[in-house]
Amino acid sequence: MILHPAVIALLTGSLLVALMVLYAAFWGYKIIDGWDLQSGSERQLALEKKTYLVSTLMAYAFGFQILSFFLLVYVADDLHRLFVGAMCAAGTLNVNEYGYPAVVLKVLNCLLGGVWLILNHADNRASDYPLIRKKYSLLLVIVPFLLLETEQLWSYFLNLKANVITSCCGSLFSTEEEGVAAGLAALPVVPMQAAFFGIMAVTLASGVWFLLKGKGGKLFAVAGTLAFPVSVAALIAFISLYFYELPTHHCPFCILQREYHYVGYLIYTTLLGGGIAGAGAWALMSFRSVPSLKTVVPRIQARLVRAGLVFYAVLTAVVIFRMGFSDFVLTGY
Amino acid sequence: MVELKHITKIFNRNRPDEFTALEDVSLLVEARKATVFKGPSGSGKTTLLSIIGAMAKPTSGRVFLDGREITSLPERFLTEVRRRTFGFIFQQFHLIRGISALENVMLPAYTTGEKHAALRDRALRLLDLFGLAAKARSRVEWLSGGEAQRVTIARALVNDPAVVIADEPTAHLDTKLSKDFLGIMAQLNAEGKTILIASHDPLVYESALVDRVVEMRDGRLRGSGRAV
Repeated sequence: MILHPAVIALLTGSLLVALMVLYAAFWGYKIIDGWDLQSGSERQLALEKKTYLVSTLMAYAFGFQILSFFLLVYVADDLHRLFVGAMCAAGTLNVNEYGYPAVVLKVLNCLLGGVWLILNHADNRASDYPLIRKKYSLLLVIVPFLLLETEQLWSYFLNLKANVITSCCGSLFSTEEEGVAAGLAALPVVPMQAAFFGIMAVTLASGVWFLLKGKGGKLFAVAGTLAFPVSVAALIAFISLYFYELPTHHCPFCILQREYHYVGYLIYTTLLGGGIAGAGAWALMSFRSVPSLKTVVPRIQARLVRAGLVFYAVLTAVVIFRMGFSDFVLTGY
Repeated sequence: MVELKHITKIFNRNRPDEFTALEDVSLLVEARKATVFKGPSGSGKTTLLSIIGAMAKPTSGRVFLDGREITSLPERFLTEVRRRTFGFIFQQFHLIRGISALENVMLPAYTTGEKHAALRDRALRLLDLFGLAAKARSRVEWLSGGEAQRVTIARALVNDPAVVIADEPTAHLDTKLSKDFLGIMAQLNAEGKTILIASHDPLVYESALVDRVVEMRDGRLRGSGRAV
């Protein structure tokens, strides 16, 4: 194990989050099992009090979870100097078999945690706990993923051996290799450009339409959610090439470095923010008719649409700016 | 109208010092009437008023306010109910020292976002109503017991609550001031406010103001409460 301060913070944080989530899941199960708002029993009143504690714990746990994604990619990037062959976070994460699963699980849990926080926020704005069973059911779905992520993260950092010779991002994200990363790198550029700009156009247009006319919310929610995986694929397939000005370098991690003005952090923020806003708006869609949420959900959705618009507009602007003002021309690849 | 259904309040549950303050209390409190909760110290009067006033939650049981169940409400909704529905007069006054009587009266309304000038005018009118206009800018620690008591009443009324809750309001007052206080309560009651008073002072529960006396002992109601 490498005793880097961020590694210690990540491991401690992940352990605390896992413990908090387990505690919340225990009470979540009891709430799903025994919640009865009509009852004035001691058990029901205890559950009502406990749900405040659990929801506060989860707000902090998932808040940390989202921030810890950036800490993980930062530390993976920072540690690359210790490993022969690594040029950026891509190489560091490849030092053992736990690195990439840990990152993928963290991204997944960030999205799920973000959606949970949005459901929890909506539930807390109604007087009769309308989403109480649904949000705790979602929590029980998230728990195994979070525990698996914790296990993978600990395995990853505990098995980081400085004498390991790893692969650089050039080979990991090479179109010549096999695997998911290489597969994404090999995606055809023009169709990916069409997919990226197409989904962004639909997301942004439907978002503006929703804010102006109050219609098209579902389209925004679906497009905003799909924009996340499409953008990740586009980042590897063609966006990264414009930053590196190299037709063969598809790495999504080198952009975290100083040479690229740390633009990767901005791209990751907009991606995660847009993805969570889209998925959150989608998750709330079926609760618009719940009587106590009739005025609450549209307000939250409007805020999510505004946030999603800002995140995805910034992402699109960054991509267009780079494509438009770079000397690099991709024609022919 | 306030309805209590099977209210139990246990402090320090499952600890050696567990204490049952209220046990299975069910009661209907009529609107626009004056009700006194009478009983010895430790009988549960203050706990009951705290639960009715949404300042504390019961261990079990439900409270209904005009038919709306309020014990399950999340705190953000309960705050609003408390602010709009109840005005509290405490035994120890709980005025904030170092600020004026006027500022003390205005304080509970600050969170409503009402314009400061309108709020100040209303607070001044209330202080004037209780003969305290000249003391409005005096610090509360300079006031006599009777004056402080009237400031607490003005503070309780600043949000125009439907229900005024007073906990042992005459405990620190002499007979004249106690009668003055009861006179003010009678006036508020005549204006349509519901008055709930916890007291073991005969001057209060034998007052002509009182519509109903609910007797308490050891956290339980004795009888169903006598109408006066």
